[in-house]
Amino acid sequence: MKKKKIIICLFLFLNFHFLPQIIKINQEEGVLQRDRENHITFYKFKKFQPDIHKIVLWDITKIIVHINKVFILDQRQSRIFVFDKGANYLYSIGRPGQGPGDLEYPIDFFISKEGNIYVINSMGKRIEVFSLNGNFQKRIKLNLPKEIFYSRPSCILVDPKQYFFIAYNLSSHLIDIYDFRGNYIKNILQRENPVIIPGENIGNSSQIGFFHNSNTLLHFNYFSGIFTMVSRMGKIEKIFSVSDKLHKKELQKLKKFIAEKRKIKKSGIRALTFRLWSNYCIDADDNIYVFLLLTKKSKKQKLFVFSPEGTFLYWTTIPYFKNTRINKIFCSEDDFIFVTSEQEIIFAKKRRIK
Amino acid sequence: MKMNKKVSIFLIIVLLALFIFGLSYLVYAKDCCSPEEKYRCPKAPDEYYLAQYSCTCAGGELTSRDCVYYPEI
Repeated sequence: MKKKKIIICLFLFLNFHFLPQIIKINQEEGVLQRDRENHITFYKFKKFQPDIHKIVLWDITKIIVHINKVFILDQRQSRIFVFDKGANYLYSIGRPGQGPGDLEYPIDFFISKEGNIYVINSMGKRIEVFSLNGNFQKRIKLNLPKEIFYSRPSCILVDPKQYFFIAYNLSSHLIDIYDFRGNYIKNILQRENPVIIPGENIGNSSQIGFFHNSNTLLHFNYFSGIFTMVSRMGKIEKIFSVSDKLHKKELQKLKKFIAEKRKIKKSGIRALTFRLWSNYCIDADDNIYVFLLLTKKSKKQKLFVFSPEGTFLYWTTIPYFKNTRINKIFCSEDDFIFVTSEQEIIFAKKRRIK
Repeated sequence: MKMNKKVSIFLIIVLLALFIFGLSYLVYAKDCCSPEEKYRCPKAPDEYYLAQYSCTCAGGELTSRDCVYYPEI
């Protein structure tokens, strides 16, 4: 009996450590592409228009809907503006500056289940923590490893044990873990191409997120369009992407452009970042949605949908958005939120599929 | 002699203040982006535009620069 238990444990251990990576790069056609009845559609489109006499949003960086409140980070104004769902302004969190509770180039924020708001300051490499009603609680300085001294944080996730998952604008590290004091713990995902110092580099182009129903993290490169699923232990589980002709063509063109720039010697470090994809969002079922920012003239923008396993399901378009481009997409429990290139915010409901 | 003492105390305070100011300038990574920095990002290739740019300085020296491009609509 004991032997059996040991064998089972050994099998599970080996399974966990030696499970092969699943690679689904350049998936040609979505498995549900022809099955139109199963494609997502949206309805009840509603513009989210705050009173411009009170608030004008300049640079909508991130939107989170939390307990019927809409939190909007405006990087250029260094504030999080809070509204009710009717777009009525309630209050703001943070202000520009360098003191405790001040925000300096805030690039991302995260709301934990406990109701704390963690704002990552790109320039100061620190996290400001606020309560939901905007009271400043504490400041956490991130102690970046020496070898990535030049990096600036670009994304933050916080897990229930108060570990911070951080991505950077340019770094040989793609995702690092820090403890609640801001001390570096370990790296869980590395960049493939080396960073050249001094010189021109392609930025990390990272977005990171949690799935709702698993412990996996999802890294997305909005230049290459490649998703990487990685466990919190640092094991790469899946790598996937879709093959799109327009994207493929642009990728080659831009790689050539950057290679030419690299020949010119520079004294500093420069990160050139091309956004070819929007950010992604994950719905309650862990399906993944992402827009291609490239479109042929007179064609509609494509929304790509992947299953939680990284299988390319289908692409679709949204007729509501005719002459505008969606730059950002956010999923909340009930709504999808789109941000257009004109900084318009539109809420919509998803009509589910059969 | 008394006057000299006062002057030396004053000088020490001034030097101390200058030292603290200099140290804080060195320690804090500051944004040293001027509007001209924009033009130090490579000119966008055809059908792209420069959407964001930012720079980091430490001790008054430029350490890194970010240039973010979006495709034109």
